[in-house]
This record gives sequence, structure tokens and C-alpha cells, in this order.
Amino acid sequence: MMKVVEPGEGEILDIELDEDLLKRNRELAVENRRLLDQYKVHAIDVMGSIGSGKTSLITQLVTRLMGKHRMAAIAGDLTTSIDAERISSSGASVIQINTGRECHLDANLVKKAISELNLEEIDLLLIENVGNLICPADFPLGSHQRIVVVSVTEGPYIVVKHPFIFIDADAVAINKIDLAQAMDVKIEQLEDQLLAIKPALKVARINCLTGEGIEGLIKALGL
Amino acid sequence: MHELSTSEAIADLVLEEAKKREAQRVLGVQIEIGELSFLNPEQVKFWLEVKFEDTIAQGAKLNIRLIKPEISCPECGYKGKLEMKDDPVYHLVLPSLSCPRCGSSNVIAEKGRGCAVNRIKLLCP
Repeated sequence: MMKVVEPGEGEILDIELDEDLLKRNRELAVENRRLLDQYKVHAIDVMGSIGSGKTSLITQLVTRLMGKHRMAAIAGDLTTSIDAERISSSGASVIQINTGRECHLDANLVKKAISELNLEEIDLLLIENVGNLICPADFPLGSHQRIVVVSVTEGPYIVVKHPFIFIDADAVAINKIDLAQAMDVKIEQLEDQLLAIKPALKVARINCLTGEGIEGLIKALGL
Repeated sequence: MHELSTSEAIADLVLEEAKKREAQRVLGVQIEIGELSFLNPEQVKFWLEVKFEDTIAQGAKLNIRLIKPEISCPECGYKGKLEMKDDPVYHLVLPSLSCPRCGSSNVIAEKGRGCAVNRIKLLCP
């Protein structure tokens, strides 16, 4: 509904604001990065759909990198601590962030979680974002690397339907590769589509249940 | 997907600015939304109208401009639009993060990611 406003006797002011609404998040992300760098902590943001295997990948990474790195994880979820408990049972200390109703983590929530960690005791921080291929892309957290986990059970169109999440990603892990045939998904096609969007992407095929491909991903990430 | 919280932030910003300048009414708001952001302009407009109800911004003219994505290439210095590749298999247009001039894959998305309140028109006494 549109109401007609009578200008009356007042003066009309045309004000230039140029106020960027996502800027505050970007500034906080820069602050997070600075703090992490100060303590020489490398942070990785793990993004992906609900059920793609973000938690499974993190537990795999924690199990395999235990001897090499001192690790902590931040697990973002709407209301539960299921993921945090799963990660914690693999041996890393975990801070749970419950976003309530928000569909993504933002730099402010991560800042709060980081303040709960003893940064002197860790050198690798894995941040599990909320399961969502859309919103997390708009909200950098201050991490050094961003991984997207996609799984073949999301179907053959998952990459072309959500191209923008990959723009800021450094690596993509294609999970559940053992189910590709059953799902009638051609993994090469997903890989081609990913590289067409961003040729610099590191793409790894993994199976978080068996551990297949995880070592390759670790190498690709330089961990 | 976060159109509601974005609209809340826009409404707060506009009403605060209007209050600061002791405006009687907010007549217009111009907003820029980057095409690489995940904001649906139609939904932003809808929620903003809801947020402005019963305020001095009710009925303000909302003008939303879409900003085309732009990239820059640190390798060859290219600055310009992001190439969108047509995928004939899916009839989809995919963004392609590589430099159209030198082919480098080391490019930076400069424009088209943000959401900004550009200018507002106020009626002041």
C-alpha cells in the first residue's frame, strides 16, 4: 500500500548515505583474522548443505591431524549440540554456537566463540557453518580457507543451482562418492561445473564413512 | 534468505538518520543490492514496507537498484564485469571466476556482493 505524502511546508533533504549493511560483518571478520594471525591459528570455515557431511569431515580431519596439530572446532547449529558432541568425541575441544533462527554464522558470533578459546593452545581451528548453501556466502567469518562440502546425494544439479557459494571457496569436497552410481550422479560432471565457476578451486572426492580421499584433501589444503 | 534481518537493519539505519535530522517524514529510500548477494529485492522491499508501517517512513518510495558484479585481476590488471557462462545443458547462467583477458583464475570479486543504503529523501520542518 502506498500513501501519498504531502510535502507541506517543510524542506526536502536528499541525503547521501552509502551505508553498506554487510560492511560491519566484513570489518569484524578482519578483526577475527587479525586475532587469529596474532596467535598463529589457521582457521577453516566448513560450509555445505544440511546432511552433506560437514561434521563427518571435521571429525575425520580431527582424527587424522591429531598428532600434527593442536585443534579446536566451532560448531554452528540452530538449537542442538549434536554436532558439537560428535566432534568432541573425536578429540578436539569444541565451542558450540547456537544461532537460534539464523541460517548462517556471522563474524560476530565467531568472535564470541573465539573469545571462549585459549588461542595459545591451538594452531588449527575448524569452523562448522550452519547447513545452508545460500546465506553463509554473504558472511565471511575471518577464516583463512573456506571449504564447501557437497554430497552426491544432493543430486546432479547441486553445483549449477548454487554457484555463488563457490566464489569465495578455496576447496570443495565431494562427499559420499560410493553412492554416485546409485544416485545417477556423474562426479566428473560436478567437477567440471565447479572448475568452470572457479578454476582455482581444489576439488577432492571423499567418503567420510570410510575415510577415502581425506588424506588427499588434507594435502590439497596444505594442512 | 536473510531478507528480514537485512530489512530490519535498513529500517533501523533509515529511521535513525531521520531522527538525527529531526525529519517529519521519510519520502524515499534508495538501496543497492549486488547481484552476487543472496538478497531477493522483491522480498527486501516487502519486509521493508512491513518494518516502515506506523513509522514516519510509512509510504516512503523504495527504489532498489541491482548492481552488476565486477572483478579485478591482480595478474594483468583487468577491471570489469564478471563473465557469465551459458550452460546449454541446464539453460543456466553460471558465473565464471576467471579473467576474461589473461585467463588467470586468481581474480577478486570487487563489486556486486554488498547491500547498501545509498541515499534517503527526508522531509524536514
